[in-house]
Amino acid sequence: MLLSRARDRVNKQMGASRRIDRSFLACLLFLLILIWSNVCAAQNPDLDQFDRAVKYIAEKICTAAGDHASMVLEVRNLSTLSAAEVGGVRRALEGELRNRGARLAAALPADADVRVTLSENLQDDLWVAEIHHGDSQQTAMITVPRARQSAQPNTAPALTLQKQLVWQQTGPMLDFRVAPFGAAQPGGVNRLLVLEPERVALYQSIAGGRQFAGAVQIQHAQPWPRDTRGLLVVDGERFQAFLPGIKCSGTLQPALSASCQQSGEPWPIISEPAKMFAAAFSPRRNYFENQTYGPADWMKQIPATYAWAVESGDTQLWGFTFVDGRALFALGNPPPHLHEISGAGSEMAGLKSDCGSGWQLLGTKTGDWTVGDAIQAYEISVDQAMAVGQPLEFDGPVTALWPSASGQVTNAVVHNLKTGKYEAYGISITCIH
Amino acid sequence: MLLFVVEAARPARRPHYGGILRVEFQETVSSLDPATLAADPAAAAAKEKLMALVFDTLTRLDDAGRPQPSLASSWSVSADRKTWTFVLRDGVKFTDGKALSPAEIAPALRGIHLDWQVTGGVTRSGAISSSWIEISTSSPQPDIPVILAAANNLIVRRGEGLTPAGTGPFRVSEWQPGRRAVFAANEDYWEGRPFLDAIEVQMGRAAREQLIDLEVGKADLVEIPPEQARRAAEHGTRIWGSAPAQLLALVFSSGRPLVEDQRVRESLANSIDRTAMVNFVLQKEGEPAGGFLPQWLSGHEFLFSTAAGPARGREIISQISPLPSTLLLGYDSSGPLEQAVAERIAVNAGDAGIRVSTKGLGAGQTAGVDARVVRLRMVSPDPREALAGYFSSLGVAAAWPSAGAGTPEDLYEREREALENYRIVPLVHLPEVFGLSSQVKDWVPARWGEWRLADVWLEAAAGPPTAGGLSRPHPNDMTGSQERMAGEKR
Repeated sequence: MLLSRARDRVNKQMGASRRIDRSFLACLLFLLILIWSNVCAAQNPDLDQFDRAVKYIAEKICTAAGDHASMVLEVRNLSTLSAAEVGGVRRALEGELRNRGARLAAALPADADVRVTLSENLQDDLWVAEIHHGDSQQTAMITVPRARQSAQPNTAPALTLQKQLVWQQTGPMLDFRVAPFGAAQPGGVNRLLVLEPERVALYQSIAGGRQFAGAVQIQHAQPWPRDTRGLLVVDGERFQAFLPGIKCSGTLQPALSASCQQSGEPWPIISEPAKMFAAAFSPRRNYFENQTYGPADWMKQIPATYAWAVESGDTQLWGFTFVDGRALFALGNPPPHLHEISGAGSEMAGLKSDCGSGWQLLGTKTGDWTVGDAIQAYEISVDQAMAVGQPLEFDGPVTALWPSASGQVTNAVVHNLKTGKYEAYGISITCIH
Repeated sequence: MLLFVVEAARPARRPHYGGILRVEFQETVSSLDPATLAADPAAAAAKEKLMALVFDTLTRLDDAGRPQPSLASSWSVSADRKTWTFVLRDGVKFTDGKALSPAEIAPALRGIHLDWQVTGGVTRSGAISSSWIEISTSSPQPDIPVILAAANNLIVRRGEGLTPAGTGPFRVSEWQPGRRAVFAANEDYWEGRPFLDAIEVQMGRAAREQLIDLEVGKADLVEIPPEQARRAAEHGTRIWGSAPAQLLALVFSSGRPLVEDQRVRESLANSIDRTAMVNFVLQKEGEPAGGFLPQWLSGHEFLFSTAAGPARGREIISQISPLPSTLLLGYDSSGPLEQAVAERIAVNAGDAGIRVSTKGLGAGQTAGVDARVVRLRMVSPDPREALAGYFSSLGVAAAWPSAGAGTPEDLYEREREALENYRIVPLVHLPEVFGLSSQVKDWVPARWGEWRLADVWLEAAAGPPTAGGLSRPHPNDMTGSQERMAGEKR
């Protein structure tokens, strides 16, 4: 993969250059391609490291075996490289050896018997060449930075729940919001606001990618809770970031700016003015305390929760995940009964859709953060939460699940255990009629 | 009136605060002071696990063994790699309330590394000040951030108490040397208070007692000897094993006439069937060892053969005349595994025509035997540091490349040189194995066995108090009157 990926990248660039106006002189085109290829190679560390390793091993083999020596080359794999990647290494090595004048034989007798083992240690791949030449044996080694990554599934197959990868980064991410530019800006261009434990970062969509556009630090006198949580609220060009014991208020224009201060202000569960509903978040823990602010007294009795889901329509549908591990839903205001949602974990959010009742609960799975997770949609009836559609699987725990302002997309942050990265997904529901 | 009840805890996913983790050790730890060394490798390992609860290092190693910020938030190195500057994390306090400062760290590091020049200070730029430590060495040292992550570089503050203060996720709340310890959560830990309220440690518990305690729910985390791991798992015990991070090796004594002839050592080394040792003695919990460093760490261990060669052993011994008399092979008499391995070696040696008898040795006893079976602990997940640790334990003098870690070939060469005279014969790499209760969540230790208990939480931990007297008298009935306070017995 290392080789093919790097080569593919170079080939794509070469392909692009070939599309340049054919009126260019052929030699100029060739020169451009050559330069372009070299530039790409120089900028691609994977390819650099790979070529460096191939050249190093080939040089060691040729030095030990002698000029124009015949040799039998065995390449074996003790690493997690795939068969295709091992084949790529073999081909590259054979090519380099031939370039240096070596004559590759299919079987002994030959001047040298060479075994190259593709091994790996804790940090890197390790290529080891054992060169038997006459009575002597030499060993050469080189480390190759490990660059393999798992494939990133980006959408669920024909299921009602869909995920769209919005962003990924190596550091922790608490929440994110896609913030469209105002009407004056060209359509299709948007900005991404990412809440991290120590900063709010802004990225701008440019040419199909996202470019860092600034960040503001979050000052906090106390250490964050070990499982730090945070919530972003974006309203036009202004935003608010809620973190344990801290609230930041800022603007996106003309440049990203914010000021943060100690605050016990409750976090908004629903921010629509007519249905303002908020819950106080513990400044030293990872849950909402039993102090809620809403239109009904009964809300003040709700014990500590990890998550809330509130339908913003008229039905008054509620979902809660409590710190004791229960996931419950309720209908009505006040709701006369609570009903358990079997198998649901600690994250929960509501999602508007065109399916079924028009509002579904999304819940994560039980377990802990050492294993993969899934988001399941539930259709709520009077006394039952029915799982609908297939769960949306992830390669790590869902560490945050917050509704978006529109209610039609839910933002999920996933800590991918395979890549170690934090991934931001927009979760939506598509109906299959 | 709407009512909510706090029932028995159920599986959630987000970490849950509260609860006491009950840990049991076979070893006894008499002091938590990093300055006092535990001679026995097993005792040293137990002590390191406890010290890591209370103390931090300037750097720490991630899962790939690469240094990451800890008490040092960043660092830089001079072009000649002789001077390293570490910026101290702002706002960190010891559990006695004193702020972390260069004045505490610099003298401590100087005391540990006599060849380092360590200075520290505070740089002020307007309203912002930053504390730093500068380490200078006479030769290039590319591994300083890795070295600083090791347990011998834990940052402590010595006050009036018996145990120095640390900056770690827990603080000592009870200490009965060699018997029992309780560690309470450090509410002000710079990385966030741990999820557990406390960790209760019982020391000196035999392996069998630990397993029983786990099975009857008296313990949450216990040690399991590798050779018993398979049986425990078959009985339904939740097991976690590290990558092989211990080494059992055969070490020949110096100055013993019977083994001064290298051919005797080589013959005995060839006779050993490591695969059978792993399969039968260790019940497949381990790997045959050809080198000091396991394959997962070095990537080059496959170059050292682990195959048994009894025929070669017989051939070599047949060249010696007269045949050596019976070799005396010692083992730690408190270690059943060491005894089983020693007896296995004696059987293999007999097949090759070498007479070997075994003898249990007391703690620290090394004299009077021709060879010993020793258990060694990997001191670092950094290959160079790990190899240096083994060499130090075994008294192997190795010439390290002056440029620090050097190339993979340098490391391989050092290892090969140390093995070529058959004074030390690696036998098997062993994992550390632990038994866990089902309540333990987010148990994600490092691959090499280092615990990360600040991240662990307990499923059965009680939820936070719920003010307002919320309870539920009957499932789903939210209008009844049988209210009880949260936590009341039914």
